[in-house]
Amino acid sequence: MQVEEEKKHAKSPNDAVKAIKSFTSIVPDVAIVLGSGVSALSELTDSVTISFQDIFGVSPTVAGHAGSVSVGKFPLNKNVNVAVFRGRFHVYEGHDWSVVTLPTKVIHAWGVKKLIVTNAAGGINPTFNVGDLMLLTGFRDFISENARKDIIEQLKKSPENCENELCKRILNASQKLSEQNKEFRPIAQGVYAGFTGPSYESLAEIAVALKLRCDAVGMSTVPELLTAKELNLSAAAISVITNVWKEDVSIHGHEEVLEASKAASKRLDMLFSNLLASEK
Amino acid sequence: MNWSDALVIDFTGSLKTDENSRIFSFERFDSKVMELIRKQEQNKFGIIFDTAFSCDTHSPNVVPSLTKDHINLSGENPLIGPNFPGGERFPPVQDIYVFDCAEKITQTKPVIVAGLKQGKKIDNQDAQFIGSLGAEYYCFNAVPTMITAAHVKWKLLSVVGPAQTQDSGWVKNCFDKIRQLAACAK
Repeated sequence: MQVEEEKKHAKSPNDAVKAIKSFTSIVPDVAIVLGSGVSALSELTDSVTISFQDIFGVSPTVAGHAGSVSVGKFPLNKNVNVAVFRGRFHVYEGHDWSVVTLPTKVIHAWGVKKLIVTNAAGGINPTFNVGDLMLLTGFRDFISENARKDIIEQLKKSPENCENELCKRILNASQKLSEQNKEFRPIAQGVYAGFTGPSYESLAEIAVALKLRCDAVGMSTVPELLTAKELNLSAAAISVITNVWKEDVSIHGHEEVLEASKAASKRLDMLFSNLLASEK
Repeated sequence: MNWSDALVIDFTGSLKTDENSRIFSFERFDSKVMELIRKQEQNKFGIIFDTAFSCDTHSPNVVPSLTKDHINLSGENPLIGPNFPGGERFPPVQDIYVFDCAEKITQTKPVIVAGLKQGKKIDNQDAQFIGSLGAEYYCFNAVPTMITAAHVKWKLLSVVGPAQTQDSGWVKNCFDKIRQLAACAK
């Protein structure tokens, strides 16, 4: 679908909320966006699953990004209503910025108070291992329309800080889990560099990200965090480290990302369960 | 490596289009360049010539050099949009450049180039900043061409050099040397 035609089909945030409300009366306390191949919270109670097409009027196009929203109660704490967004709209698919940021606007218009965004990312911090989880303390924006107008100026800026109360709660949940279960590696923290893609970064670009003290690179999440900030929506983001860059190891492609995402999903599921069990 | 049937894409204005010899001259990277690359078979070889500018303001002369890597600072990527089915959605670009023959072709070490948005004008301070990121030169056409070619799994000899006003013969000299190497490889 061409960009202009897609913009015509995309619903406004309020119309998208109306569409959701025709399927469910639940208003979630927390919305969680799952990135490439990341699966978590697959069993909600009294749940309904709605396609992106039905909600937004448009749908994403990438393998591993199904494009649906499940809304229901968290089984271990039925006081907590959750919306799980499986998939997202990416700039690299050719979507307009208004479409890429639409789900976050809908989450806000729906009355959701907390947003947790996940993504599959390449680790460039040499201390990271495949399957690690990284809580974003900050991010660098090379994705938004404004950033892309002048990448050189964007490179000169400091990273956007995204630490908040929700991040602290995620860190606490991780801490508790690692004390209870020695197999649970505590969540790492770091700065995420968001590039448009869809080609992977060159070695020289990874070297630039390292010079800028970034810890992971990916192609998403920045639109959600920027939009949440604009709307004063409490948001945190977690990267699933699906490959770790080393000079002598080349990146193999999206299949590798999906495989590593599956392995890390179990840890992410444990983290969300712990976090949501103590919600409210 | 056999470069004898490589597709040649020249952005410097030094070569004339000659379809029989698989030489194509363009003013700039655009959808026509993408169409040309995508019409070819996968896993082919390409030779790119592009004009470059120095990031070192103390040494502004550009010496013809092979590219060993790139930094895309354009804010654009030619693969944004629906995926062309001839290539993967997320193509790696790390192993695309061939530069082990650099000294035979240019007598210089291979360089890292930064790709800027078409028509972008930068001052000395920005040029130095780009240099501090690791690039020796910046250019406008080679990087998007390279990304398009990486998508269909090509290997590339990417040669950058000064604008024609400074040295008009470097493209032909380098091209002759590449042809000689190709002949030796037969």
